[in-house]
Amino acid sequence: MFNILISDNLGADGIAVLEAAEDVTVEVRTGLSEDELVDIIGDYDGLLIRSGTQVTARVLQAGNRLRVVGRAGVGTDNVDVDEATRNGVIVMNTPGANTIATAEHTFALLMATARKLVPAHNSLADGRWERSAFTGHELKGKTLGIVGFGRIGQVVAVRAQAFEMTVLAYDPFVSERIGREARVELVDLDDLLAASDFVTLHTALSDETTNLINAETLATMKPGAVLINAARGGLVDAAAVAASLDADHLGHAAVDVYDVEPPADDHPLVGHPKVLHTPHLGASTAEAQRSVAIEIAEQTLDALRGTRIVNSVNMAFPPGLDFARANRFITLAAKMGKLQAAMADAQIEQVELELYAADAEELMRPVAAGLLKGVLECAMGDSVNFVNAPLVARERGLKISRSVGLGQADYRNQITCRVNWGDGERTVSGVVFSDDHPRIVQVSNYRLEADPTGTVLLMLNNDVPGVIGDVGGVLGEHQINIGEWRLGRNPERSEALSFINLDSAPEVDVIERLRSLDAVTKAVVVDL
Amino acid sequence: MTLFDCDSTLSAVEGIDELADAPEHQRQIADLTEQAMDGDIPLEEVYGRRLELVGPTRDEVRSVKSRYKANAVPDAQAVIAALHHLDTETWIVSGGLLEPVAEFATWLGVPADRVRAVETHFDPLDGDWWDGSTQPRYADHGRCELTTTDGKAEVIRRSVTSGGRRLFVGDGVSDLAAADEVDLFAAYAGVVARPAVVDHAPVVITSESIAPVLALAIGPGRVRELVGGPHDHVARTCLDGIDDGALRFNDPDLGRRFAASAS
Repeated sequence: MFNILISDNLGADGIAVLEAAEDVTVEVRTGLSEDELVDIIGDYDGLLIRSGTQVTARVLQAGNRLRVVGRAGVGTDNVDVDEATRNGVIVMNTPGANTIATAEHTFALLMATARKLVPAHNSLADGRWERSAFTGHELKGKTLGIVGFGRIGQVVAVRAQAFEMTVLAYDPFVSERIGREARVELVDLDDLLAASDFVTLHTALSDETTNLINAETLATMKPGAVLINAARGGLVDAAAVAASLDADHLGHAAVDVYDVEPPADDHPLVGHPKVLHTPHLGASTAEAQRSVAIEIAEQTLDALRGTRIVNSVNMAFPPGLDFARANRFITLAAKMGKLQAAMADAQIEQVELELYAADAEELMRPVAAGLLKGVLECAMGDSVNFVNAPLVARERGLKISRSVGLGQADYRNQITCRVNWGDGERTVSGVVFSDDHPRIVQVSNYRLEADPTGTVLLMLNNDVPGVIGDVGGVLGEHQINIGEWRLGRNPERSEALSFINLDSAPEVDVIERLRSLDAVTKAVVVDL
Repeated sequence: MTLFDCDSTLSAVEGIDELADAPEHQRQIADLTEQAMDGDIPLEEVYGRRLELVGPTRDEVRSVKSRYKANAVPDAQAVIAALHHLDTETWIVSGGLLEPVAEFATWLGVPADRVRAVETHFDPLDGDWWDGSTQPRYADHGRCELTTTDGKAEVIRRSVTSGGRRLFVGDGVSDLAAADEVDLFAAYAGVVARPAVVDHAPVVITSESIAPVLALAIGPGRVRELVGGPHDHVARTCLDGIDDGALRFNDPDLGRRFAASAS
């Protein structure tokens, strides 16, 4: 049973999704102080928030059971994401649910500016009938420049094309194919600014994009052009925009977002006669609020159940990853890590990873997280998971790196990892099949095909007659049934590796008896 | 069929040189590229060294596309459109990095499956990799003939399988080395004229515009047929260029035959 706390106002449809789930109890408690949240958070597996709740380090440390923080919306500024990662808590958001709402609001701002709707409305409301003062411009035949051609930018382009505008886009990381299919010309920022009658921003805020629109770039824009910002306030140097408007260079600006919200009373754009502004309404539609609530509820449920993890901001999962496929790799990687840790003669210091798969580069980070979880689990138990394993490994000095040429690429979907400790090393290879039954195909230089599931006895022994009988005898005496016994021999045929699936776990004294057999040089039991 | 080199042929830049941002790297890498293209040192000796010096991120490699586009040589897009109009296949065979070259090809109109260039591999486990904020960095490049001076010949022999007369246009010694695999090699000297290449190619395009390629690909007669149609501008640029001496024939026999077909 999963306990989920909703601590901000979440759309009723999202709550309904959770209430309909049979494995969930859900509680809504809004307006909690940090202390109150710290007091109760220990009872919950999941926490759903919007922008109100501050999920601080104290909250996260007190959340012993907490596994998911779900933000209905995009920004996660109110969550201490680093601390969440350290505690193995997944932080997720809903970046896609606002797309249409934001694109439509952008268009509302664009049209309202082109036709001077707000001043015209105010004028009539004041009792004046001033038709000539509000002559506008048509969109047809004008050029719209879209800065950032991701989801929202592409949706804006479709709407602009319906108005018969020419659309340019700047996004250095979008492929020409996408531009071609969208009938949009991808150009450099300089060219976009110089050619556009309307410029709209749809890019994320990063070091490179902070103050992307500044005095210098504004000067390169067409005289009389319109700037629209419904993305992030920090993309724009507001004082420079006001100066450009005052100097009659930029024609108009329309803004929905501010570097600090709400903006200060003396914000240079608020109340400016050439600025149309709204109080961050981009995502404020009934439909978007409904879909963020439903999406975050579904995502949180899936993550708690382990069936699907998407839109996590602190996991090594690239966007668009095929989770079902990745999950097969990650699961096998964790088993391989565990197996390596069980067989290592001393603490593992380094892990090298090689992936043979068509999408190897995409899978590399998730698989690395899985391997590290497996390696660390022997020593740390449940406190390490896929979320915090990379960070915990870094803090403990356990290194991981991508490698080439570790083993033979015999299979299409193969993971090979080599671990090093003190003066020793071991290479293990595993293979993912589409049937959810992975196989271990190599341990050191032994080739085999073994099922890494349940209790496994791994044994190295001299390759002499009678070993199987002796080991079988000891296990039989203790009523331990052997499910499968896979053998691999080294090329010299002097030593063999046994990979034995047991139906129950042997006690320590049974393992000691196996180790005392003359031919047996190593015997370890691991639960996979 | 017309095959093009990319760097210093369809675009005036050398892609890998564009990756270097530190001035000392810029000089070092440009020197290495220059020596390899002039044939002073084998390409295979400098290929990986240049990339290791910079250690570019995936996004940095991608951004080379913009440099290619911004520095496309005059009439490159128009030449390719005119060749396609006349059902002449176009290919790009480049020692540059596959991702930006393929993107540039798409922009030019060359289908991505007719692009041969060098694949780059990135290390996704570099830096603080788990939160997605760190970009994978260059790890190594695909083992491929295109990183060697003699490799283009092999790649053209093996993977450019469709039929037809083959024209190959390029600027470097690795392009000239593939001359035997095609019916005609044309040295393009509009960006850089390398003595080791322009002195040995049967024909040299000396104009900045790459439009004269059209006449070598389809013959001057068919270029004249394009005048007045949708490809009028590039056809005229080509014919005017030839009148102004944009084609220099080192092979006198070839020059005579070309002149005969032109008149």
